[in-house]
Amino acid sequence: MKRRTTGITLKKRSQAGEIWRRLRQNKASMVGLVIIIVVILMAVFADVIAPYDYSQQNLAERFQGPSLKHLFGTDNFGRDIFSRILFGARISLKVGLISVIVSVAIGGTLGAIAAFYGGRTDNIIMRILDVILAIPGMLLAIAIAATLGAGLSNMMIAIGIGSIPGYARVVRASVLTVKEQDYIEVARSIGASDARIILRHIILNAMAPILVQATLGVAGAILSCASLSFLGLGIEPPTPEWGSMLSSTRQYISQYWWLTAFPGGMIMLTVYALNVLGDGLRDALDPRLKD
Amino acid sequence: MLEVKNLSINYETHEGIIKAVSNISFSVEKGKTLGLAGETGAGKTTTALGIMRLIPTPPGVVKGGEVILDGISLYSLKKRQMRSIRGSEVSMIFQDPMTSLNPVMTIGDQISESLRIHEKLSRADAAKRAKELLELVGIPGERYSEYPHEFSGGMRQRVVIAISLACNPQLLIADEPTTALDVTIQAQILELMNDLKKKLNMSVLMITHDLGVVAEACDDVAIMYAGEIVEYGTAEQIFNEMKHPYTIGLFGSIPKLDEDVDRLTPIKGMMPDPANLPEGCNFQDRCPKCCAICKKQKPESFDIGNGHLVKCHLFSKGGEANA
Repeated sequence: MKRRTTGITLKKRSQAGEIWRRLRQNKASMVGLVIIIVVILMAVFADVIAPYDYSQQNLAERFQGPSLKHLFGTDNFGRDIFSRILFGARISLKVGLISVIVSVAIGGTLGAIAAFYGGRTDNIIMRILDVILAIPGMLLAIAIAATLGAGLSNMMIAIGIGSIPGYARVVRASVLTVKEQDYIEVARSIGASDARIILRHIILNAMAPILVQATLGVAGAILSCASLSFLGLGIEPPTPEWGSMLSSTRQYISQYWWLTAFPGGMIMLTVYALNVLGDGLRDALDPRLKD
Repeated sequence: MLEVKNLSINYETHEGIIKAVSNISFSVEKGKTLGLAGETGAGKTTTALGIMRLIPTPPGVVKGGEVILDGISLYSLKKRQMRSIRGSEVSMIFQDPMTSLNPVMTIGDQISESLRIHEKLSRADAAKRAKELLELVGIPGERYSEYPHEFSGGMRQRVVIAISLACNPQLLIADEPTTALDVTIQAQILELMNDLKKKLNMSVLMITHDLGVVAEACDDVAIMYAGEIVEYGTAEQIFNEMKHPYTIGLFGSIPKLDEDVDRLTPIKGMMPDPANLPEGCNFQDRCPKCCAICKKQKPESFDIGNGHLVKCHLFSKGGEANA
């Protein structure tokens, strides 16, 4: 899989161009992509779009249904839900992306080293990771979050740690295959150092499975983030996070549907979009090995 | 230029110790081509990897011997020193051009890589030199930024040659460079290699199982069998005055252009299992001239004149041929 963007001209059919073309044909993935882009725009331009401040309370206007004044209605403190959703997007995306990026970076490096050097190194690294893997993800995240205390970065650590072994395994499997390829031996024969071989030759060729895993991982991280906040760990009020928005308005679910429907809907939509995008990516990346 | 002395390489596996290369010695002179010919499994590729110190060391073990390139003993070098020699003093071309190139890098980048590692050129300079190299091997320089899948097998092999020649090595090891290509392309590639050899005054170790390629491209020949060099000499000596029963059998099994035969004459039997080599000569079960001593004692390399070496009891002092 190619990462550089040398553009798509008629003559140069780069691999990224091929993959994008294939992805485009998958309608569901395109829908997912559009949704994600919308969510990203919501997050980036939250300041500009949001009609109200997310923590601005107005007790006189509590529990108002969706209207022109409050697109998604107001919550139990009279805060505008639409604004809270917008800022919530920031947090969810931040947590999702950063925790996955860090997990992939750490897990990927460990997996690549284990696969490349093999033997005892491989054994030691993978067994340590197995210990983490043995603990159910959610429990691990809860335990870490509870230990570290509240806060955004602690939550990212809590979510991130649990997924490191998964990424390590994926990268390890990928690297094990790639390192047996002839062109790796050619690279060795021209005197490339181990570092050069790993960074320039192995990583790009081993990337494809990780890309799919990471996309799905962001979805998982967003869900975990929502779950942790729902349980009261991680995000502190009044910071709007979709999961904590759910938990704090749980009791009103039968009376004022919009309090839970919008945050819940956003979680669902975002996770769905990431999932179909990830699936589409997996398909688009797969048949490429025709050359 | 290159001297290999008593090189032995084993692979130690669960099933036993595989003696891939046993005690081989040969040399390649400056500007000349040595052909290392033999069947599949004879140990040719292992020899090549042994020279480059690329034997995978968990199963592979270099049991003994020396490899001396231009006066430097390669096995006495530290890893870092060896890395600086690979690609710049000695390079290797591998067998299958279809898998020898990294699919996600442009061919220009792959050629430049060698230059950037050894000659520390900047990107721009390396790119310029890479384009020159492409032209040298007969590919338009503009195709520098294309990907391997946009080239045919023959052209990919040219790219591989360009990569190996980038830093002007003194020795080029070509491991069956034309086996994966069709005959017309084979001719082109051999011609190209010959031209380049003359232009760059390079020595070549040509590994092949095709005696036609040996005849076409090699000055000296070493015939390998079951990890040993059984006959060694100039191309004329080997082709015109072949002495070892295996060599005779090899040449006898090639179909001739001017003879009409119903059946080809293969050498009976199979190469011995390298994990279980027999006591005595490795060729004993298949040799028409096998006698008592062959089953007990391994023959030495006997010089039968003008540097023509044969590893066979027939040519020992008291052997049949000298009787």
